[in-house]
Amino acid sequence: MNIQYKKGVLDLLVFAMLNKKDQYGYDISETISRKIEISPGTIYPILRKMKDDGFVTTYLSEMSGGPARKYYKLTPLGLNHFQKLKSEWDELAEITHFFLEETND
Amino acid sequence: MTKDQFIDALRQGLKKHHVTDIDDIIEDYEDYYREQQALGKSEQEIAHRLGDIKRIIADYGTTKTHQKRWFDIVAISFLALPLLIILYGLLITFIASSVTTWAIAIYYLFNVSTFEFMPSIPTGIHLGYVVWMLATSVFFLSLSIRFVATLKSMTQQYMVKQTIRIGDYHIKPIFQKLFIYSMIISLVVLVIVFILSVIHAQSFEFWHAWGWFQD
Repeated sequence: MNIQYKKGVLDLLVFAMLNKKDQYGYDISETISRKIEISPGTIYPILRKMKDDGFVTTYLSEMSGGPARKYYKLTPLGLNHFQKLKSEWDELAEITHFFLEETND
Repeated sequence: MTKDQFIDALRQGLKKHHVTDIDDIIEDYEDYYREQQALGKSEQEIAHRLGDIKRIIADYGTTKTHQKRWFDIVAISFLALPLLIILYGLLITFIASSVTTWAIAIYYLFNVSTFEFMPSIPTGIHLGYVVWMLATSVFFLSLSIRFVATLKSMTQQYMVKQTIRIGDYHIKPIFQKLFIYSMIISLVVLVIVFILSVIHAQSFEFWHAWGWFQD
């Protein structure tokens, strides 16, 4: 897949995962890097930027028997940002579809 | 590259880029190593999968945040809190305006006796005023909804980042439309009602003809 496409949607994918539930940092990077073939090292800087922007917070969760895992949680500010990104994405997808259908004829 | 080499190189690189709170970043990579090692991957494989370390460091470099000085924080607090309080006061005014205009419209429509201090309007034309008041009421209502979204965003920005700015906010398109259309309708009806009133009273100052503001 085109690298520009991947980079453009990474934020949105991370937001979408966090919107469902709090996520273990490792699960975020693994889930996304498996699906769209991107190195996991690309996801962590994105998470960090989201934290600096106040879109997510982190907390450590003790697992039974194992070491503490770092979890990411969406803030209300992050939720607003996600809704905005999502509506922009929907709009873009609609426009793209329109042109693809047009040129198919 | 072993795990220790990777973590060390990452730490050094981040320091060089003046990235703050490096331990917080390292935690993520230690989690990653731990999980992958549990799956039986070797340290070399993991480092390879994580990708080019220089690129990772560069990615953090571009996300470096501006460190606030104490002066900025004090100055912003002095400004932001009064500003936010004033804006919340304004919001209450908008909501009150919406309720008031709605009540006035109801009064003129049904001639409710509790508002007899209101100036009288000749029958017929009073319907124009009812429409105008209703449109204004809807306008203030949608203005309030918009304003709540803006204020919420500003408050969150202030709480999280100690800055005064309007962040992202989301309003349902229906409220956007309501806002614009009610504003247009309210203004158009105002002009129409004014013209009708002037014609009816045969005077540009129709309020004198109708005996308003007289004790």
